[in-house]
Amino acid sequence: MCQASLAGVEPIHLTESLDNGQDDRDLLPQADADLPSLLESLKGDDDLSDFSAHEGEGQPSLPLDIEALEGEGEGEPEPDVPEWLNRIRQRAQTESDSMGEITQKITAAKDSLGDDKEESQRSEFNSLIKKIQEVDDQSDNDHAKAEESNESGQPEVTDADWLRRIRDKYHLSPDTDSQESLNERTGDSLLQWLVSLEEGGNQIAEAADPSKTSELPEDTHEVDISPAVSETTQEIALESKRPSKQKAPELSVSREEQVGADQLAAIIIDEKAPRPARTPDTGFRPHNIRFLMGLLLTVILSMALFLRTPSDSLRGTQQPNSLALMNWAESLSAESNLLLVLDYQAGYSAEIELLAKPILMTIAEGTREVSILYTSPSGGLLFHRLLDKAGLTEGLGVIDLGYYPMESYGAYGFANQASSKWQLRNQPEFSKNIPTDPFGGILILADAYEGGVTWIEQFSTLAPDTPIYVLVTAQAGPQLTPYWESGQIRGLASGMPDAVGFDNQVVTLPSHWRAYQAGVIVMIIVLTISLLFPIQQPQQHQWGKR
Amino acid sequence: MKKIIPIMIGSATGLTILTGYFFQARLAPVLGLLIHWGIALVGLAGLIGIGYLVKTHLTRIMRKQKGAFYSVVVLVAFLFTVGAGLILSMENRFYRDWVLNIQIPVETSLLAILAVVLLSVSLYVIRTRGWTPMSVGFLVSALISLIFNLRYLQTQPDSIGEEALHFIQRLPLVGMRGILIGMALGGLIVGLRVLLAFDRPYGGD
Repeated sequence: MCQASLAGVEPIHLTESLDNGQDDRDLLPQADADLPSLLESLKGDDDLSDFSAHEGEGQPSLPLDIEALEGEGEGEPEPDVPEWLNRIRQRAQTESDSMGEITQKITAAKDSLGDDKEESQRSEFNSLIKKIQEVDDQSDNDHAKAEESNESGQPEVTDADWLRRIRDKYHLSPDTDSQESLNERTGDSLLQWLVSLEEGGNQIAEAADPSKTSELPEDTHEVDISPAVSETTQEIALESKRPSKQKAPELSVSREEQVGADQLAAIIIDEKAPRPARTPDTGFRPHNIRFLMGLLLTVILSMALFLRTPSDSLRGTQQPNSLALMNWAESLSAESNLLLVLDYQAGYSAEIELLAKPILMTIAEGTREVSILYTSPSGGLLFHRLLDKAGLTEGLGVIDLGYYPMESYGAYGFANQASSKWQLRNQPEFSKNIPTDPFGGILILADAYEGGVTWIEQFSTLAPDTPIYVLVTAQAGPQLTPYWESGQIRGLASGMPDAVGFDNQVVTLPSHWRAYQAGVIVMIIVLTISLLFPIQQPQQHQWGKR
Repeated sequence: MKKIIPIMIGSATGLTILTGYFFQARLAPVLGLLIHWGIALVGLAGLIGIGYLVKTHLTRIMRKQKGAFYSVVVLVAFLFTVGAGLILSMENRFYRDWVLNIQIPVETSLLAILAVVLLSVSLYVIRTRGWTPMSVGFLVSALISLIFNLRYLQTQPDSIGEEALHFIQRLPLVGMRGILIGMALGGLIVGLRVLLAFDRPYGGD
């Protein structure tokens, strides 16, 4: 920079050149060719640093300040000044734009930069003061709350040594940290707790690693110096969150929460555990087995039913209980009344009809009256169907005593009413006309043990003098045989073998008996196979169907 | 009070019924009245069930839900059967065939399916239960019973074979008698518990 004074330099009148409208710098003589280098030096880095240095002092910032130049010129004798410099000084005194366009722009830019920087520093300082005040207020409030909670008897939370050292190092308030940690815990669910625990564990691992800790930026450095207000705010927010994450292990977990967390973790681990690939079942599938069995039974029983074969004599195969029943039917007097109890469903009608038809035909040989009651809604229809099949629609008198919805009610009530010797005054008539004479016998047609045994027990107790005979399906026969052996019932017939034994005396049933035998043989074969060659039952439960 | 009244009614009714076995001639009218009340209540429950069934199917039809066509079939068949039952007697052949020719095949088919399922399941008995005394005993006893049911085994009278056959045939009866005695004792205990209000199947808790 040239610090020479322009005092004493004689000005040169350049009116002619100015009148021509040309720039004065273009009109400089060639001898003054070093002037561009001077102007270039004015735009150098040194000048810019001098701008910054002089801003704080309020000194004139331009090196060509007129007043400074004049002041300097008054106090000191000037050495020899070149002519070009005198011309410049002279122009500077008379012309306002003598500094040139480039120099003016530089000056204006530096002025505006200085103003902006002053404003930003001022606003940054104000925001920092506000934050410090807010933090102080919050810490005071937290401290007051903590004191209140301590006074109310809540246990004081003691910090770990490592956490206390970190706070001492960074001058952090424990109240602020605990408040932030509590804010983060608000609304935690079990899953959120697990996630925070996992993050906390990671944070602890990172904090324990000195190499990672050294990579963290210095907190104080980022807070104190920041070029803009927005950046300052962002750095403070990040810093305030960091220690709260490190406090996650301090969560107090109850026993129930711990158990639930363990279960959840076990489920997650179990879901991710490797499992062997399920191979498709190559064994026999149940529906295939059932299809084969159904087809086998259908074909064999159909062949046995429809193929005509000569009937075998079954006369020697009747059991004593069924023989007793047939003998009673044959010996029944023509005047005796008979009670017929129908306690079977329509699905068993085929088997019951095979048993009952020969008995009813035997009974109907004389002119007799039969009273019926039934425990299924279609019992009356089933009885008339039975009469139809036996061809007894005309020869047998029928008294319908109606439908009794429950075996126990029907047996107990009917037996009591039949044996009642006096009546209540104005007693309503619930039942139809019960024969006044005692029954000569009770014939029970049942499809299951439960129904048959109810009638047997009630009638044998309330009407012990009346003989009871039972016709039941094959499934109930073995269970009711003890009642025959004990004498509670006088006769018992059950299933196809007894029906065929009756039929051998009355009608012929060769096809039914042969089909029955074929079915039994099939079952014997299947059971033998299952004993000798057991088939593995396929897995019916798939993972997706559980 | 809400607990005591049902207990008193239940216990009094049970004791009255039980007394009727010992004083049958005197208590028969009272017992008959009680029994018929019970029968009337059971019949009423049946009517309620029918009404609920009709309501369910009507709702399905009104909302045009899936299977509404079947509900229409059910309701039409039900109404027709009720109307025919009111007009026709049980001796009427058409009415009898209308009811039984539907009911008997349906129920018999279910029994046939049951027989097939039991037969197929018997194949898995040993594999599922293992060679245990129970599984082997079950299968062997079933085999013996089936063989006896064929009535092919004939023995000479007063022979050792007849005695052996008789012994084997009595084994199921012995077992059944034991089961019946156990059931009788169980029924007795349950009856006493109900009478003494230890068990309250009629409510009151």
